[in-house]
Amino acid sequence: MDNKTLVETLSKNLDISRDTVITLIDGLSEVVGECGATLDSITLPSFGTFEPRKRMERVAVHPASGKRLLVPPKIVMSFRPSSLLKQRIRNGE
Amino acid sequence: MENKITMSGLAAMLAIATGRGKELCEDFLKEIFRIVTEELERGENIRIKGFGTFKLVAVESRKSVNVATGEEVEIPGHLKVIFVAAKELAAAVNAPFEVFEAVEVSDGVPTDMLLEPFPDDDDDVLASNGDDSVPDSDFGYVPELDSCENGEASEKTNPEEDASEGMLSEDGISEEMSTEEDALNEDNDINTYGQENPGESIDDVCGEPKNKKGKFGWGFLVGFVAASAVAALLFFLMGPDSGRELKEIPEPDAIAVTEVAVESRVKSDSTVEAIVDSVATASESESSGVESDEVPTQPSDEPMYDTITKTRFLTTMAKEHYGNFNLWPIIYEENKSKLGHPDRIRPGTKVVVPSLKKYGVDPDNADDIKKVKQKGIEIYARFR
Repeated sequence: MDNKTLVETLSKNLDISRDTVITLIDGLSEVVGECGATLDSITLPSFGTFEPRKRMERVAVHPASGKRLLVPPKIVMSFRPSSLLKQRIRNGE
Repeated sequence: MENKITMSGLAAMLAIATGRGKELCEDFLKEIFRIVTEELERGENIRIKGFGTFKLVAVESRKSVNVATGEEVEIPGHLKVIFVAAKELAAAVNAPFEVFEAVEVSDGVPTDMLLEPFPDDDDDVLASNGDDSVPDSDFGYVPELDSCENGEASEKTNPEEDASEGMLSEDGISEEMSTEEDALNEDNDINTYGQENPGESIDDVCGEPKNKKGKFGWGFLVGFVAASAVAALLFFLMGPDSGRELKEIPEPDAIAVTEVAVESRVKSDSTVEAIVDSVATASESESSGVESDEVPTQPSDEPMYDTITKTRFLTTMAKEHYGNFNLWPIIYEENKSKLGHPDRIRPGTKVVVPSLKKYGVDPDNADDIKKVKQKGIEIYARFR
């Protein structure tokens, strides 16, 4: 499903305007982003958990040039599906 | 930090962020993730703009063991869901570190020092838990250590409040290091950092400083002696030249080449890289890699012989015979019984230049070239 269809569906199912839907989606990204920046996990029942993970800085070697790069640390957002979701996907298609 | 947020909490935050009611936010969250679930069940990926994409990937079946009975069991191939964050979300999540970029490390800087932990910030994003004691198993390379607690205490003598103070720039690091010098050990683990442990938290290494306080001077001395010994040895061996020098300027002065080669060997071998001549570094990094240009002079079919000299390397031969200098590993493999380190082949060594057909490599096939390059990396790895 692409974003457009998603917005339409949400607008219809929740009986709210498309603009509101977009506002809510943007808000969702913002809030989840903030939680990630403070390394807080978000658990949604029967769906899964959004877990921020820290990656330490490391020295990487560029294989072609052989130059060594210092890659700074970063935080990435990962997702762990719940067992229910995993099962539904396995059984679905 | 490391809190677990529930649906309800998320809805509350969303309500504040958007100025809408909490109930609407809750309904919205439930609905949107219900839709995502449905789509995934139907086998469809779903993209939420500004947030991310939930994608399905196929997983191959694999053999495993039933932990209870110990008998083999097969996990059948199936689909799994992955989440790929959108750029906006990824940037928001990485907000504390967005200011940093990857920085090239010049060869003169010892990598182990760079990877020493920074003194703790007050709001230290990088510390894992409040747990100060570190189990031994976390230390891949440092055997006996004082408790981490003491290590952290000694680091706190120089608190760096601002995480964005460009700590990760090289200057910042050397400044950092000079204040931390007393606590840090230089000769420790220089080799072992070849095996990076990206997953380890900073706490893992914090036990180091305390232990090595007194040994810093010794480390330097040992390193200096070692480096001069190596340099002396290499000067002694200056006759035999490197067999393969990819980064060299093509027709250099023979001695200049050898010297740079010597320096580059010192760099790659020496355990104390701080002693290395920065001039050599500059010249080495400046000479641009001889990029492959597809000029097949003789795509040869018959096996031929060639000789390594101070100016003829495996790469030179590969370029001439195969049209691509990247294919040097083929010549290396053919002659590996009489070759050691690819960069240190004695001039005068006769090598057989096999036909590409023998190794099934097509010089025009990018994938084949990739494989051969990979082989090259492997060959180097044998000598690390």
